Amino acid sequence: MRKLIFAGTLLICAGVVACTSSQLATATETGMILAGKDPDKARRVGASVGQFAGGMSKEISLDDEVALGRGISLKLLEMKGGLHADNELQRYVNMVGHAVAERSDRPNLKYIFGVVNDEEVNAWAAPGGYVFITVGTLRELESEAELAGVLAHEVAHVQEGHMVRVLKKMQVQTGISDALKATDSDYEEYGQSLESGLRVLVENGLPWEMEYEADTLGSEIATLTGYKAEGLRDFLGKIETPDDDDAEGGWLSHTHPPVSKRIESLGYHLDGKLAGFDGASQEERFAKYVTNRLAKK
Amino acid sequence: MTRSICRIVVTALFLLLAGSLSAQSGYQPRTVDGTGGSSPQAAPRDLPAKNPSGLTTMWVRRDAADVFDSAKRDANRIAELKKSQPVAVIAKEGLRYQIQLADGRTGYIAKLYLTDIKPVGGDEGFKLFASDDIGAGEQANVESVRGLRKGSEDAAVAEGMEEIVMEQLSSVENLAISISEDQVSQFLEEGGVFPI
Repeated sequence: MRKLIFAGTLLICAGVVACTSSQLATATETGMILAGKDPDKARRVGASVGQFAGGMSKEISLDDEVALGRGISLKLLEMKGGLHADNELQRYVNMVGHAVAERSDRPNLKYIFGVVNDEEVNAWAAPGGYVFITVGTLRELESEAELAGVLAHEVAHVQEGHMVRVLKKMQVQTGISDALKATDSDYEEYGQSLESGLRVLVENGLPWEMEYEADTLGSEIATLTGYKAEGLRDFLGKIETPDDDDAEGGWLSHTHPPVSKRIESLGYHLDGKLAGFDGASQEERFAKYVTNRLAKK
Repeated sequence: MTRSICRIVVTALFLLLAGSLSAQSGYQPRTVDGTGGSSPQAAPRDLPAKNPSGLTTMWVRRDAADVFDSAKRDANRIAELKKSQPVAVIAKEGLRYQIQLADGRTGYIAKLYLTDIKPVGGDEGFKLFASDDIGAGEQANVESVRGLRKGSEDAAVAEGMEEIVMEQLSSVENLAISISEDQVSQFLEEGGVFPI
């Protein structure tokens, strides 16, 4: 019987995510009344539950989203060795990034793109439009279309609010009072939020369906910008390794789906919706601003 | 006591289930045409619909979509359509569909911008951000919150974050904010990259 109650409670918790706070309040109140409880008490409990759920499902303001993203970005940069010192390189990546961001569904959000001084092959997107790509990734790329594909993948994460969704979910599961806390006063809770965000970025990763979604939306955004649709897939093809499907090995196996699966999934999209779009690749400019500059260092 | 709790839980679950059927929230991976997969907002699919002139109606599925004077890559932009706006499609050939604008002119729009699913409530249904659709007038606000929020700066200091990292991020924030839309357009044009 206890197991049944526990399962029911878990399901109700899941319902908190799926229902509005008022629906949850009404459901709780009605349930208690039908179970023979005092209507006044039922109303009080229902209201409390609704208030609790309301807090959980509240929208995040732009200010909070940016402040949270900035805090997480600082932590990430601290961990990964900071930003690359080449200002021209940073500007070039921002140009390509802004070009794809303007074709996304949040075109007026001012995105910040940064090249991280790290040789690991990786890229991250924090809430509020903070997108980072490593020097290691840039070394693997051969064209602006590939860079656009990678950046557009990250822009798609921001556009769809993937990390915010995951943090909201963590908030419910872990009981953190406010995993999206970005207030000016409570540093302890703010710090806790940043830690949660950093953990999602570098340790746990996002749910795989979000990665697949960012792949397809990212390729679409890059195509709309005027770049070759295959940019992201071409890049993934370069970093695919034989042990990629092995959970213990392979590129980013701990935070992303296997590269081979991503390539396969992207293939359907490229052969379907994006078939026939003849975008630019632009190797020359990429070599001038990225490959040649990194080679000199 | 236990039975009573059980009854409350079961009843609440039943009501929640019923309520969630009509609720439009929760994560739903979107299909590539942005129609929301199996999410409730995808319905009703009442198309292909014919408008009074006999042309097929489709809807813009992105925030802004350019309309061009021809289907060629170097075509001139003649109009901009907004998200959820209906358009009359004259011909569905190639990558850009020929459409008729409200003022009677014809133009071409990339098929990626259109969906044949009528939007419900004029949007995608799920609202995650309080300011999801940031208007042009609000852009200044977006820029002003970059790196200038004292609370987050104080918190960063309290967290013991390295000053050099904070300076680096501020520097790249300023760089990003200084890039204008015109500069981006010029950058694309110079590189032979033509938005569709």
